[in-house]
Amino acid sequence: MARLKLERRRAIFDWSLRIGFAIVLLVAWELSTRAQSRALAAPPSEILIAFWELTFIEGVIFSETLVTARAFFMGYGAAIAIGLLVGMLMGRSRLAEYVLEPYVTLMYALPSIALIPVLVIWFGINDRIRIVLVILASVFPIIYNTATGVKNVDEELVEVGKSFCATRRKIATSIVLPAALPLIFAGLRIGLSHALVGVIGAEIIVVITGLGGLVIRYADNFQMANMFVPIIFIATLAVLITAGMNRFQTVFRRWEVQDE
Amino acid sequence: MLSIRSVDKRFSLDGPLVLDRINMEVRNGEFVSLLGPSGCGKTTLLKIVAGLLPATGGEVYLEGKESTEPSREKAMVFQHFNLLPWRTAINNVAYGLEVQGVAKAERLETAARFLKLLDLEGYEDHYPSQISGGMKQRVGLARALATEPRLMLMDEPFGALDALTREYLQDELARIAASQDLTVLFVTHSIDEAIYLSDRIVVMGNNPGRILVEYPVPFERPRTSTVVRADPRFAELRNQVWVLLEEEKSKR
Amino acid sequence: MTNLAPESGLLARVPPRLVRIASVVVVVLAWEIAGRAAPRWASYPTEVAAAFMDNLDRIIDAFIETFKAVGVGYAISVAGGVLIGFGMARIRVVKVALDPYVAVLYSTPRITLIPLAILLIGIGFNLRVLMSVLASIFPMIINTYAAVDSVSAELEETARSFTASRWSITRTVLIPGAIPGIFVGMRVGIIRALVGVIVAEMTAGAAGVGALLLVFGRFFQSEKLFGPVLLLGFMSILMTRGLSLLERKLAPWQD
Ligand SMILES: Nc1ncnc2c1ncn2[C@@H]1O[C@H](COP(=O)(O)OP(=O)(O)OP(=O)(O)O)[C@@H](O)[C@H]1O
Ligand SMILES: [Mg+2]
Repeated sequence: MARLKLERRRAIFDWSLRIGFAIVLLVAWELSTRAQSRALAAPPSEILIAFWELTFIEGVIFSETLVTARAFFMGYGAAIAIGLLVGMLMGRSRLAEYVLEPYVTLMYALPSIALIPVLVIWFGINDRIRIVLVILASVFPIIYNTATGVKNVDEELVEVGKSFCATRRKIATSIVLPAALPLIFAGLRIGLSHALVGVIGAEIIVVITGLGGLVIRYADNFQMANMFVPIIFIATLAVLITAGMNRFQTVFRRWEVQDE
Repeated sequence: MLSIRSVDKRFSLDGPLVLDRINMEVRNGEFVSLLGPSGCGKTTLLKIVAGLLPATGGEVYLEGKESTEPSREKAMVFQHFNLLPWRTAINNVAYGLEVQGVAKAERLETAARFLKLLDLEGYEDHYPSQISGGMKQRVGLARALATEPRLMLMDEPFGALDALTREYLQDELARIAASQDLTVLFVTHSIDEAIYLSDRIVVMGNNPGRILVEYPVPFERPRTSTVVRADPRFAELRNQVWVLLEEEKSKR
Repeated sequence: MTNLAPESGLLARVPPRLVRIASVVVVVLAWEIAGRAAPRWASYPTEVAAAFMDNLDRIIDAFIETFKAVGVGYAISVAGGVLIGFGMARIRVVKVALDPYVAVLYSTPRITLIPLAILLIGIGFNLRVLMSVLASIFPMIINTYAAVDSVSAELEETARSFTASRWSITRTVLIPGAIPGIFVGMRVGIIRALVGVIVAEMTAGAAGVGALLLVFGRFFQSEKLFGPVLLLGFMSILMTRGLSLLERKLAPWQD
C-alpha cells in the first residue's frame, strides 16, 4: 500500500486550504460587488477581463510599469550609494557621526511624504520629484543602519586583524564590512520598502504618471475594473523586488547560514 | 515508585527507533543515574517520564498509576536551566507553584525558603541575565524543589558548570535529596558524578537506545567525595562503566 | 565602539553634545544666510519661526485632527496586529490561510489602495483611520508573528513540565517572550500610522496636517511649510522614544 508521507499530506492540505480560502474570498467579493451599484468596486470577473485587455491588447500597462520601475531603481540605487558612503563615514569617524547624527535622526523619523509640498516648490511638478522623494525616503534608514553596523563591529574581531598586521583598508574590507553586513542589509530592506512608498506616493499624490498615476486616472473616471490592473502590477513589482533583495541577501550572507 | 515498562519511541511513523523496549524500576527514595553515549535517547526517556513527550509503545507508571501527562508529583530540571528571562530569581522559583494555583503570599514565602536553601539569599530580585551560570542552575533546582515533587527528573543539570561549582552543587543535591526523601532520575555524562551521587547506575547503549547494564553503587550514605574516591571499589566500578561506554562508542 | 580612524586629540576633549549643538547652530546660521539670499526657495529660520507663530492656531488644530486619526488607527493596528500575529504563530490553519495575503500586502505600498478606499468609504475621518490601519497593521502582524514564533520551545516545555495549561503558557511564556518583538513592530507601526494618515490627507483630505501642507505649498509659501514639517519630524522622534521608554518599563529584564 502506498502510504503518503506525512509531509506530502501536509502540503496537500495546506494548498487546498489556501486555494479554498482564496475561492471563498473571491466569491464573496464577486457577489458583494455584483449586488451593489457598479460605481463602488469591480467584481473579480471584470477585473480579469480588464487585466487581459490592458496588458495584452492595449499594452499601456507595460510602458507605465517601465516608467515607475525606472524612477524606483534610479532613486533607490542613488540612495544605496549615498547611504553606504555616508553611513561608513559616520561609523568610522566620530566627528562625522556627531555632526550628522541630528539630521539623520530627524530625517529618518520624518514621514518623507510630508516633504512633497516642499519638493514641489523646489523642483516643480515633474518626474524628477519622484526620484528625489525615493532618495529622501530610503537613504536615511540605509545611513543609520550602516553607521550603527560599522560602529558596533566587535572590537576583538578588529584586533584579530591588527594582530596579523593588516592594513587599515584591509581591516575595513575584510572585517568591518562583513561584520556590519547584517545591519546594512536591514537598512537596505527598510530603505526598499520606504522607496516603494516614495515612488508610488509621488505618482499618486503629485505627478500622476507611471503605475500610480494610472490608478488615479482610472479611479477618476470610475473605471473600477481597470483600476485594479495597475494595482496588481504594483503589487507584483513590489513582491518581485522584495524577493530579489532577500535572494541577494542570502547569497551575500551565505556564511551565516553555514554557521548553523 | 516509578516503573517504566517496555517503552518504545519513534519521532515519526517511518523514523528510526530511538528507544527500544526500555524497562526500569526506581524505588522510593532511590537515586538512579542514567549514563550513555550522546544521542542514545536519555533526554527523550526523561521527557517521556515527565509527560512532555508521548511514548510510541509501552507505559510509565507512577505509584501504580499510569502517567502520561506532567503532574505535581514530578518536576524536571533542564540541562540549559530554562529560566524565564522576564522573571526575577524569586519569581522563577515561585513559577511552578504559581502555575499550580498556590496563593501569592504562600508561594513567595516558599520560594524564598528554597532560595535560601540553595544559598541564593540576596539575589531574589535579580533577573537571570544578571546572575552567573552556577546561580542560574541553582535557581532551576530551587524551582523544581519548590513544588515539592516526589520524583525529580534531572537532565545533565551540572553539565554546563565549572568543576568547583559542580562539586559544590553535587554535595548540595545529595544533602537535599536525603533530607527531602526525593526519588531522583539523573542523567549525566560524568561517570564520577554518577557513582558519587547514585544508588544505582543504568548504562544505556546506542542505535537503538536501550538499557545495557545496571550497576548497584556499594557506598554508604552520607558520602564524602574524598572518601568515595579513595575507595578501591570506586576505581573498579568507574573502570567497568568506562570500558562499556568506550565499546559502545566504537560500535557506531 | 570601533574607531578605525582615531580623531585628533581635539575631538577627544570636546564633549559630543557640544559638537552636535555646534553642528546644528552652524547649519541654522547657514540656512538663515542662504535663505535671505533666495527666500522664495527655502525661506530662512527667523521667517519660518515667525510664520509658525502666526499660524499657530491652524497648525495646532491640524495636528490634533491628524493625531486623533493616528491614535485610533494605531490602536486598532496594535490590537489587531498582535491578535493576528499571535493567531498565525500558534494556529497553523490561520497561518497557512493568511500567509500569502500578509506577505503580498506587506511588501506592496498600501498607498496604492487609497483611490479604492475613497470610493468605498468617502473622504472623512474614517478614510484617515483606514489608511493608517492599512499602513501600520502589517509591520505589527509580522513582528508579533516573528516574536511569538521565536519564543523558545524549551521554555514552553518547561512551563508544561510544571503542569501549566495552554492559557497559562500563553500568559507566562508567550506574551512576555514576545514583548520585545511586539515593541519593534510598535515603533515601526507608529510612524507608518502617521504616514498613512498624512497620505490620506494629501490625496483626499479637507483637514489635518497633510491638507495644511498642501495649502501652504500651493502658494509657494515655503516659510509656512517648514514649521509643521519639522514639527512632524520631532513628533515622530518623540513617539518612538516614548515607546522605547515604555518598553523599558514593561520589559525591564532586557539588559
Ligand atoms: N524532536 C525530535 N525529532 C526527531 N528526532 C529527535 C528529536 N529529539 C531527539 N531526536 C533524536 O533522538 C535521539 C536521542 O536524542 P536524545 O536527545 O534523547 O539523546 P541524549 O541521549 O539525550 O543525547 P545527549 O547526551 O547528547 O544529550 C537522537 O538521535 C536525536 O537525533
Ligand atoms: Mg540529552
